[in-house]
Amino acid sequence: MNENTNSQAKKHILFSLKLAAVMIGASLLLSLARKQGLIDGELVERAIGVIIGLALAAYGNAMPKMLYGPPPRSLHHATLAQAAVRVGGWTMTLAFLAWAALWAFAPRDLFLIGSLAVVGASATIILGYSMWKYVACRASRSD
Amino acid sequence: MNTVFKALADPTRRKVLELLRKRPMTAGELSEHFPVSRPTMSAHFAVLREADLIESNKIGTSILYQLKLSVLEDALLGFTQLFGIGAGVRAPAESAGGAKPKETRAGVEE
Repeated sequence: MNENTNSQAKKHILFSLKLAAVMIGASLLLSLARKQGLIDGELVERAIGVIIGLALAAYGNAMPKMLYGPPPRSLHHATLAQAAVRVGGWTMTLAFLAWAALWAFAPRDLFLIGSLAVVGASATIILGYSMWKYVACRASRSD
Repeated sequence: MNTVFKALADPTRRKVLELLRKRPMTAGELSEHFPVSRPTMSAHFAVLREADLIESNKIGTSILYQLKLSVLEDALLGFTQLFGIGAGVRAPAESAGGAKPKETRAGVEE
């Protein structure tokens, strides 16, 4: 890794640590507010769900910027990497925004199942798309 | 964020990003789409690189440009294209980092 790649990696690690700090700090504050009797248990649960969703959506938003791995070996490799990272970033961002919306507004019996279904669907889309691209890449090389 | 808005304000740079959305391209391939000189294009690439919107890698003898947009930046670019924001605005020479072309390919600058 060169110096530029190292500084980018450091920037991304710092960003991830800040997100983690926000999630932990907000959870501690909400728990404290509950102990003080300012808010009830369900509100704390929902607020933590919303914060986690928004933090992971922010992470998904920055995901396409994190292409700091080794330089691509060929144009084909670069095309594949760019497509996979863009689809991954968009899917993850939209999925966790939907997660946050569900935890904020959906009825109690729906938000748990709904949010897990949304994240499961997004993981399936990302894996399916990556596999499809990989297989297409292998097939075009063997021709 | 200011550098991002500066980069997206220019129609040529937006067109470069639009082309890179399809697939990564070499500097030569990208330049073929614009009736401007290579130094001008290099200045546009430099602005986009400075804003961290594209990444360049050397493959063999050519420089390959790849898109490096966050989801928010991607959406912003989509909105500017959708609503044609700044489409009729002619970019000043300073917007390309102050670079001025020595000669143009088609004899005209855009």
